[in-house]
Amino acid sequence: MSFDISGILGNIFQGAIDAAKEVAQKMIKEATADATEFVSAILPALGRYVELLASKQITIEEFKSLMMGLKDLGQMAALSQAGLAEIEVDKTRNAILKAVTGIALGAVSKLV
Amino acid sequence: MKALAYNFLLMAVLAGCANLVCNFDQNSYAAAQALKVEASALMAKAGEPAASHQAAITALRVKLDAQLAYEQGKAHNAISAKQWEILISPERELLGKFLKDWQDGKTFDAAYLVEKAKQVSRGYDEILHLEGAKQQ
Repeated sequence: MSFDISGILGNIFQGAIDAAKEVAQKMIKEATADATEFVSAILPALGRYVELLASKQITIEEFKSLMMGLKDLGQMAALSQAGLAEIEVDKTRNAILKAVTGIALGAVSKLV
Repeated sequence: MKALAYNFLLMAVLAGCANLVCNFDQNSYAAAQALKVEASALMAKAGEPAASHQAAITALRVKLDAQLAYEQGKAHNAISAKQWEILISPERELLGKFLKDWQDGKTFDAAYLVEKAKQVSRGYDEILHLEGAKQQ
């Protein structure tokens, strides 16, 4: 009994490459969309803060606090992106692991 | 057979690397939602002196600290824990600093309160967005 180990490995690696490409494209798309959404959300806020300061509805100290708050929100959004990217990588890793396990167990069952 | 052994070794390595971000946690999600509502309700009262709401502020602060400890204690959860830390730290400019300023006797303009409440709400949304995306 023999089996084509190089063919099996080729299938595994090609599957991994295809999955990685798909994940990379999805991550770029989502990161771009989220960054655009974040910028479109903070720009009106920035405008409001400037108007509120100009019309003396908030103090300069409050203005600074709001600006620093935006910076903190930017960091939280960046962390979300990092987390979402890791989740996608985990999903891909698990899918590849499942495929490799299936192929390897199939090969073993042919041997015994 | 040697190649097969390498395959199993590869599988073992991959399995060891899995789950960089922990799975979805219903407790974390529900707590974030509940604390978002509680913080929003409390901030709406910040036009009044903190002394009138001391018990509520302290209670919220305790719950926030407990939630941060919970998130920090979970394995593979550094990103979510960092988000909580930013939101509730008195050294930042979101909920933690706001509560500290209020307790320190600062008074706030009405317009500032509206905008800061929006920022805090957005911070909670980031936490909920990431938690909700985790694998079930």
